[in-house]
Amino acid sequence: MRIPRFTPSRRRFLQAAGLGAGGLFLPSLLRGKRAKAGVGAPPMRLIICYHHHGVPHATWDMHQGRTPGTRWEYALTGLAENEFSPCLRPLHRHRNKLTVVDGLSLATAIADPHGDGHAKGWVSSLTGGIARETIEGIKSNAARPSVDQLIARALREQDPTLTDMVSLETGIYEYNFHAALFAELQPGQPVQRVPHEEQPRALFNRLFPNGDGSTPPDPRMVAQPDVLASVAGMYDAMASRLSTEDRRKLETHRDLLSDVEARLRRLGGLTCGAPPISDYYWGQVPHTQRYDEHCASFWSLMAVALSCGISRVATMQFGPLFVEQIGGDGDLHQDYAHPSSPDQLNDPLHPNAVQMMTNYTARYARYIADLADLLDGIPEGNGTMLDHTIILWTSELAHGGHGHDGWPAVIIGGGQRFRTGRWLHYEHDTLTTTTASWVNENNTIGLPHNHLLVSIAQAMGVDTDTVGDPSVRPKKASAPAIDLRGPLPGLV
Amino acid sequence: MPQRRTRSLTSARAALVAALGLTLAGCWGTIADPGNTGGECGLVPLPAPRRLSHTEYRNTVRDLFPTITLPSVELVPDPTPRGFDNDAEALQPSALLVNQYNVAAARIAERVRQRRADVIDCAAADSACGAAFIAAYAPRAYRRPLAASEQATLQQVFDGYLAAAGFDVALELTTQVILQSPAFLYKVETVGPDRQPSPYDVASRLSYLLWSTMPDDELFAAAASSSLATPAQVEAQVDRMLADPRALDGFMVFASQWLDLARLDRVSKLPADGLTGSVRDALREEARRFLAEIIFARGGTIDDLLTSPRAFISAETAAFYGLPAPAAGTWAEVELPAERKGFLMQAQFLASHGHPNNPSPVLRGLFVLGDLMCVELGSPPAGVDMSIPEGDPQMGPTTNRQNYDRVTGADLCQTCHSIINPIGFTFERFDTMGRVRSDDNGLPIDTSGTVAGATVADAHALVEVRAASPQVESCVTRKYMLYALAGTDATDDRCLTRDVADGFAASGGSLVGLMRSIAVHPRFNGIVAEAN
Repeated sequence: MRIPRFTPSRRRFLQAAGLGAGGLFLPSLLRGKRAKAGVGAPPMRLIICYHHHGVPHATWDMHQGRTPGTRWEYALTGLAENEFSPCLRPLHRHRNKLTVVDGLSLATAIADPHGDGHAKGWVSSLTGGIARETIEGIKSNAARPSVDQLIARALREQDPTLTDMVSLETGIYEYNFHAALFAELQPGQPVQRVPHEEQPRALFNRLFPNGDGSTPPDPRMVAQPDVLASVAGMYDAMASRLSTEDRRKLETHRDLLSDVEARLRRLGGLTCGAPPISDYYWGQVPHTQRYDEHCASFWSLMAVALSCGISRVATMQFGPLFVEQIGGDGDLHQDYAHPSSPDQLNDPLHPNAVQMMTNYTARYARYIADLADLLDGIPEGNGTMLDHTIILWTSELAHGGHGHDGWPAVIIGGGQRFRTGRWLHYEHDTLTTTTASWVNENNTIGLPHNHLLVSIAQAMGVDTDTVGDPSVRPKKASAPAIDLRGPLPGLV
Repeated sequence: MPQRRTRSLTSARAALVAALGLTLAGCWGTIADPGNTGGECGLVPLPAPRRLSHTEYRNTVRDLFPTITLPSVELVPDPTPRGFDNDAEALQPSALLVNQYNVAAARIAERVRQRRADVIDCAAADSACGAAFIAAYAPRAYRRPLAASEQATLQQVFDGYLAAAGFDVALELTTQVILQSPAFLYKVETVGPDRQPSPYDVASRLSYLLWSTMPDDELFAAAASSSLATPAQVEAQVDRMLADPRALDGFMVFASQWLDLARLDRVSKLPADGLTGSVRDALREEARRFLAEIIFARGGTIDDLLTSPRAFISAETAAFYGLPAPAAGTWAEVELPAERKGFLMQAQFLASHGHPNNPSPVLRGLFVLGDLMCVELGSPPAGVDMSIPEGDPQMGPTTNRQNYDRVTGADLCQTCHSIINPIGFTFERFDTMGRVRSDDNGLPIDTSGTVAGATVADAHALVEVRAASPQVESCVTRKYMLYALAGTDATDDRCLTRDVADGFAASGGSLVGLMRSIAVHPRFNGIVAEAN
C-alpha cells in the first residue's frame, strides 16, 4: 500500500492534514464506539513534548518585573505579541489556553549523585524519581515509570476497550538511549526504557492496519489478529515449560502480542480517516525538511488517534535540532547550549549562544503552536479538542549548563481541568537536595516538579497523590525529608 | 545481573567423561561428586532464556534463507548497558519491538513468497508443499528439531490459510508465524529427560559466539548424530568454524563493540575539519581492516593491537598520516610513520575521542582505563561543570593540557583525573582529528604522563608499557567472557576465568586464540552438565 506523498509547503501540508473545521480526516467513529466514548463528554488526553538542553532563561522568562523566588501569577491573556518573550512568542496566539509553570526544580535529579546532567534529567523529568542505575555516566535506568506510562496503564485498567495504543511514543532524530520514557512491563519488575517510533509511516501502519480505505483490505492484514493469536499461543506453551524465573520474559512477550492482537481486532472495527503523511529515510531529503514534515505527520497521526478514541496519551521526544535549523554552524551542544547557561552569559568566546538557543527554543514553540492549532481546529463537546487535551512541553534540563533548577513547563489546553491563560511562578525555598560537597546545605531550589506530575496524573483521572519518589532528602541532615506528594497548588 | 542458575551432572555423564580419560577436575568442579557442590568451581551455569540481539536476528534470517536477498528491517536499537548488544537482562521485549518484529516478519515473508521458487521446489501448490516448507525451514529457524505439537501447529496454520486464501497467503502467514515464534526469537535452552543439555543447544552456543548466527548444516548434523558430546568433538567443530569466513563476522561483532567503533558516528567536528560522510566511512573501514587483517586473519595479539606499525589507508585518510594516497576506491596496507603505532594512534580512534575544538585527553584516557585495563572509575560527582575546557582569554595562550589541568585541578576532580589525564595527555601530539601537530596554540606540547605508576614520555611509551602488562590481556579476557556469557560477569567463575586465560596465553596471546579458548571450555559450551 502506498500512502499518498504530500510534500508541498508546511502550511499547505497542515491545511491539507486537517487544520481548521472541515479538515480531511476528522474522525468518524462507529456508532457503538461513539456511544461508549460519550458524546458531549470527551475524555481528557495528554501529549507530552520533550526537548534537550532546557531553555535560555534570559529570553524565555516573562517575569514582567516581578521578583523571582516567591509565588505569584498574572494573566497572559491581555499581553500583546511583542510582550511575549522571544522564546515563547510563537505561542502568543494560544495565550488564552496557555499556562506557563515557572520556577520548579527537578529535585530528584539534583539529589542523584551519579551521571551527568543530561542523564539525570532523562531519568528524572518525567518519572519524578532518582535513577536506579547509571552506567558509563549516561545510560541510566529509572526506578519509576514515567508519568505518561503510569497514566496509560491506569487508563487501560479503567477502560478495557483501550488497547496497547492507549499511548503513542514518537520521536524525531533521537537515540532511544536518551529517551525519557520508562514503564513497568510487569508488576513488581524493574522498570524498563520504553522505545519510541521515529518513522511516521510505521506509526501510520499501526494505526491503519487495513490501509487508508482506498483499496480493499489485504487478506494478509485481515489475518493478522489470528496469526498473532497463534504466535501468542506458542509463547504460552513454551513459558509453561520453564521455571517461574525464566517464564517472565516470554510471558511479557506473549502479553505484548496479545495486546497487538486486541488492538488489530478493535481497529478493524473503527472508521477513522487516514491523514496524509510524509515519511523519509535518513538522507532522502534535507534534514530540516525531514524534521519539519515528520513533526507535522506525527501531529496529524496523534490528532487522529486521540480524537478517534484509539489513544489517550502521546509523547514526542524531540532530538536536538540541526544547527543549520537555527541559523548557526559548529556544534550545537558545545558551542551554543553550554555557553547559554546563566553563569556563562558573558562568555566572549560564544557571543551568539543565547541568540542561537533562543532560535532553538522558539522553533520548538512553533512546532507546539502548530500542534495546538491542529487540536483547536477540531470541534469537540462545547469547545475544541484542545480543551480536552493537555499539551505539556518541557525539557530534560532547566538550561544549557546541565542545571535542574528553573525547569521549564508549558501547558497548552486542558481547559476542562486547569485554569488557563496564566503565568504561574513558584517559590524558591526548598532546601537543596544535592550531595555535592561544595554546595552550602542552606541553599535553596525551586518547588519540586513532582507536584506538577501529580496534577497532570490527577487531571487525567488517575487516583494518586504521588508520581515518582514520595520524598527526597535535603542535603541538610537535620532538616526533615522533602514531601513530594500532592498536586501543584494553584493550577486548577 | 542475570541470575546464574545451575543444572546438574548425572553419574552417567560423569562415567562417560571418566571413560574418556579426561582430566577435567578443576574445570567445572568435582565431577564424581553427585551433588557437585564441593568442587572448586561449583555447578555449570545454564543460561537464562534470552532474545536474539538484532545483529544475531539479522544474521540468522540471512542464513535461514540463503538463496534470496531479504529486505532490510527496522528494529529499535538494542540496549547495551554493559557495552554489548547481547545482554540477557537488557534484551527485554517492548511494545514497539513486538510491533517491529511483526512488520519485519511480514516483509521477509512477502519476499519469501515472491521468491518461492528459490525457497521451495514443489510439484503442486498444496498442503504437502506446505509440509515440505515447514520441514525444511522451521527446524533450522528454531535451531533444533520440531516437537510434534509445533509441527502440527504450523501445519494447521498453513492448511487453514491455504483453504481460506490460497497457497501464497498460506506460505507468507506461516513464515510470519515462524519468524515471530519464541523458538526463533529467543535462545531457550532446555534439559532433556536425561538431564543432559541438548546437542542442539551446544551447537547454538558455538555458532552465536563464533559466528553471531545460527548453526550451519554441518553443525546441525553433528548435533543430530551426537557428535558434539566430547571435548574433542567440540574442538574439531570450533576449529572448523574458526576457519570459516563467518568467524570474522563473529569476531568483529565483539571487537567493534569492545573498541566502541560506533563512537565515530556520534562525534561532531567543526566544518573546517572535514569529517564528511565519506571520511567517516573511510575511518570506519580503516579500523575494520586493521582488526580483520592484522588481528584476526594474522592471529594478532594484544601486542599487535597496541604496537603494530601496520595500517590501511585510502585516498580519504592518507593525508592524516602524511602518506601518498592510493588510487581512489582502493586500500593500501602501509607502514605508519614513526610517530605512530598501534590502534590507539590511528586516526579512527583519535578522531572518535576528540571534541569539536580540541582533542580529549579525558576520553582517550578513559578508553585506555575502561576498555583496555578494565578500571572502572564511576561517574563525575553531582553538580560539577561538565563543559569542555577552553582557554581563558585573560590568561593568554594556553595548551589543551593546561586547560584540562586547570578545570580538573580541584581536589575533588583529581580523585579520578589524576589517573585519567596523565594517560590521555600522552596523546596530545595528535589533534582532534588524529593529525600530528607540532605545537598546541603556538606552545610546545608536553606528552609526558603516567600509567599504573610508571612514568611514560609519550603515547609510544604508554602502549609499550601496556602491551607488556598482563592487565590488558586480563581485561580483554574479561570483556570477551562478558560478551560470550551475554552480560554475565564471569570474574567470579574462577575456573572459567583461569582456564580461558591459560588458553589465551597458550595461544601466544592471539585474540582468535581467546575466542577458541572460550568456545571449547565446558563451562561455556555446556557439553558437560551436572546432576541435581
